[in-house]
Amino acid sequence: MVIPILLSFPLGVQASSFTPTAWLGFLLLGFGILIHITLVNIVLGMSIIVPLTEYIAYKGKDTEMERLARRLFRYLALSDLVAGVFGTFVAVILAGFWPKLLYVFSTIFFGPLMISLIGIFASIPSIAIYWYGWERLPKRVHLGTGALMGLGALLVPAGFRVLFAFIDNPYSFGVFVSGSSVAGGINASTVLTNPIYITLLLHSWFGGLTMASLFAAGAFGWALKSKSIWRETGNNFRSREVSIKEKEGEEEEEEEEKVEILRETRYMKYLLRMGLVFLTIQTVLGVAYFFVLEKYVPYVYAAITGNVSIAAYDFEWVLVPFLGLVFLIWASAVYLFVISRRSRFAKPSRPACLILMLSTVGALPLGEAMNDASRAPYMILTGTAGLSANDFTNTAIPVTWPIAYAALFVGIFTISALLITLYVVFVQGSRRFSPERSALNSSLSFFFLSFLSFLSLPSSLLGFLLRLGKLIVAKAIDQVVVHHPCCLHVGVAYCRTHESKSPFDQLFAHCVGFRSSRWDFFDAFPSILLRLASNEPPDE
Amino acid sequence: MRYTVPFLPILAASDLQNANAAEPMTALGIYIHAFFLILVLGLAPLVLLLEFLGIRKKDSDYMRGAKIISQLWAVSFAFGAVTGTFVEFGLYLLWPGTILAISSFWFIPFIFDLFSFMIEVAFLVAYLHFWGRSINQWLHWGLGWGIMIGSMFSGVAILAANSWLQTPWGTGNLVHQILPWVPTLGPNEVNSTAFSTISETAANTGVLNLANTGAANSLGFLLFNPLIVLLSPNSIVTTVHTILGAIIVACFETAAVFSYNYLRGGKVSQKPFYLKIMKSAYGFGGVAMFAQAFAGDQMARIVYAFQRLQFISFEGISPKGGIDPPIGLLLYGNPFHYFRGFDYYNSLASNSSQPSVVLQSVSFAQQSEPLLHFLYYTMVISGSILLILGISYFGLYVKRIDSLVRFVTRLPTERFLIYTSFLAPILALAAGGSGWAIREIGRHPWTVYGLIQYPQVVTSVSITAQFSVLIMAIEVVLLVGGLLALYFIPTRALEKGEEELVVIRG
Repeated sequence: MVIPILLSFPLGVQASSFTPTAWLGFLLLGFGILIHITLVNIVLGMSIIVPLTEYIAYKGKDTEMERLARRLFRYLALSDLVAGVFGTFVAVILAGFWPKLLYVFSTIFFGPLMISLIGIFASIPSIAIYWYGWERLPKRVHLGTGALMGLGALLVPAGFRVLFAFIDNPYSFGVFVSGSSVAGGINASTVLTNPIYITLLLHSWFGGLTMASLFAAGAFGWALKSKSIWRETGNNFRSREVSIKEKEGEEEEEEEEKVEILRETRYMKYLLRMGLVFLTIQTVLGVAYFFVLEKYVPYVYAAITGNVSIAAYDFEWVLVPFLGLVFLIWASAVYLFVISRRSRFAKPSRPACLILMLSTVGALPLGEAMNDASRAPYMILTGTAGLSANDFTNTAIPVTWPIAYAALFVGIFTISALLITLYVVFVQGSRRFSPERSALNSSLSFFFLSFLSFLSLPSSLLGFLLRLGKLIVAKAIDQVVVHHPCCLHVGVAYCRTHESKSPFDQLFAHCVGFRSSRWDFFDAFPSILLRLASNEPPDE
Repeated sequence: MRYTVPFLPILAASDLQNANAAEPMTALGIYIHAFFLILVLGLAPLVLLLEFLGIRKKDSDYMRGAKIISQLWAVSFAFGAVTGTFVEFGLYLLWPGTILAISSFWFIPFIFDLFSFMIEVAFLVAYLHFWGRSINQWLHWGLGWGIMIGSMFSGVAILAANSWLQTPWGTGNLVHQILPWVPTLGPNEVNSTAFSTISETAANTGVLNLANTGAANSLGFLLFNPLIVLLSPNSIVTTVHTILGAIIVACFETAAVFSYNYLRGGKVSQKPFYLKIMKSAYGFGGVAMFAQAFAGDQMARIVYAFQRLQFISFEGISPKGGIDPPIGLLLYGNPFHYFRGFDYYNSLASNSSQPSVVLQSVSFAQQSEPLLHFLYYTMVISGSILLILGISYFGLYVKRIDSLVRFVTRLPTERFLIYTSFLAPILALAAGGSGWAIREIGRHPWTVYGLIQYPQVVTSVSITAQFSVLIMAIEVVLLVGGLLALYFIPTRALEKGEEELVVIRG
């Protein structure tokens, strides 16, 4: 899904509406925000679910639930780490590419941004204390820290969503667009009366909760199905259950695995139950948000419903897969929930778990991307028109289209390399680098990935070096005219090129040429002439 | 060539009110951020040195030392990132005009810093994850180089951005027209009309007019060569000076941690380990101190060349001018060289396009003279003592120095190093902290020297005392949290004792 978006959006939208800086800034910002927002939603959801689960465990003196809270907390900590990195990415891209937008936001929205900042700095230390304080701090203090963690996580979107509501619907800011400037911040009542804000905020909160709970439920289901006991019994666990009882004490490992299955079945049920409640609320909020868009943000509504008489671009093709993903979430979650209620030993379908995980993780960024991209080519909307994104970009730096393409490639490449590295370390690391396997090969492959990510630093400069034509002289001047005039003439005289072999791409083009005429690939001549060769076919 | 010189307002007390309220928050935040940052920068070469020695000599002590210090490195990085976020928000919220007027000049440093940061994260995670696991040890060492290079690049980028504020390189004669004593600042790569318009927008309206955001676009490019910021002589010297300072602070702090554990008691079998790592860290810090003496000299020359008022202030030269024998000797080879005082620079006002701005600038320098003078000598005296300590380290290897140390202190060199390792980080922090205070206070009232004054870029939102207290309290909490983590993590690692021994594979 990401690939068509990445390809079609740059190719389809760029030329007519954006400057190279705006286009590049738009995509890098969008890319960073999508990754950031996906991860912070997991953090948000887990920041509520983990302390809640711990509280339930504490009240019911349930050590199993306490164990679940701890396991979920690992997701939270890891997601927060990577989300933090991408938060920095977004902030730097804003400052570098969108200084005017950042200036406007930080001046007008001083209060809301402070709310987010306080949320972040309530959340980070409380995550650290919560982690370190498990079984070290008194339970009530630990739960209190968890509550602070949850509160901090809720405050972050409470501040940032004011900005998002503003760019969709600059409610009470008509003064800006009518020509006057406004000094100072905004008051709380103005924020809360923006009709978009509350719906958007609730949608964000419940989006995070839904995503975190259902993704974790899917992950537990997936892990359940991978237990060796399932494989041994050909997925027929009910009969196996009986046989285990008969052969009680047969193998300790098997018993442990059975306990583990019971435990994880319970976790999955708990998370599915919670997730379905959140999903119901989220669906209601989603429908409400759709109506809010229709009423207050007609431009976005037009874009996502394919009304190109109002919007510049049609994003209906994104709405359809988005709704499809929502349907898949519902279908897989309900299916798994029904399956898990049949027995204490759940036998989840692996495809259903995978669909649940992927659709949950996919729907949120896709929805966010649709909402943000459908504002194009505007940054701040005012009814059916808006303020152009070009007006907020950094126009002071010379950026041309080739540089923009190169920089986008470098940016996506570096981000991907970082994500792959983190994946290798956190997910595959312990398995791949276990002493049983060839450490050297694994190490080298890992190092290669790291090295690729490192290489992107100097290559990010390449675009700017290219722009500075002073530093790089054209090849014709540099190598032919100045340094090798003799070779050129000798090369021509002796009837060959200056290279002994054609580069790969020329070779490739050559092959294409042999099979077709004038790049018309489907209208090729026969491979050989319809007569005998006079002597030998020409060498390649 | 004539430039469009930005209009610079004369600052009244009311203009300064918000800026003065915002400054302590920013300063405290940056100092706290810098505390963790210098550990990230400075510990990197030390960890790599110890790991190199461990692999090369097959010495488990060095490996264990490297592993424990790399944990400090990771904690510092984490707190550096968290406090960095805080500083970043502070910059955007409290000084929004900075982003509007300067972000084009910071474009390349920003992007550089971003990619360096991401590379650092990837390598740091990998480096910590694979400690003691079955990957090739040299490969692991190579991962450490990834972090070090990432952090160094990051340092270069941020210091280049800060140096541009001190010496706006690439603006040609633009500053000279306002402050006549400032020489030409590199080639002219700036569209001065655009710069003037943007800086005045920040100064005069307080907020950007949303209805007129396209106005700046019509002015064309502001900066013709985005790389110019990295090429400033101030940036190059500042980077070397700061990175050496970071290495010195980090090494002496590490030496103090291991000395403390050595003196504290515990298992006798652990003592040679503590001593060995303490000596390595102390020695590395000492050697860096020699290089720092030269870098410090170069830094002073840069200040003398580009920020003459700051130089006069911290040297304490009288308003009418006078001699400064050591500086005269160093700069001109003549101890009786006559240095001009503030009166002379006031007299240059008539050569300026905005004479009142010159008088105001001199007045600010005169007001801060006592403080800068004190800070400067704090830095110089601390640095000189550190240099002596660095020399004394070689008493371990050179008999004459050992004899001298014994003669002066009545202690064997080894003992002397153990005791002084507690003093050394304090001196190093004092020197570094004073140096940065001189740099920042000495630039008053300028955000960009000679071009933009700091009240021009401060937020228009009124900053209350309660708000300041809240923010500073959060900053202090972050510092305390970081210090606790820095204390507990190596302490726990050390307490594990011999169980932690790293197996050196052949």
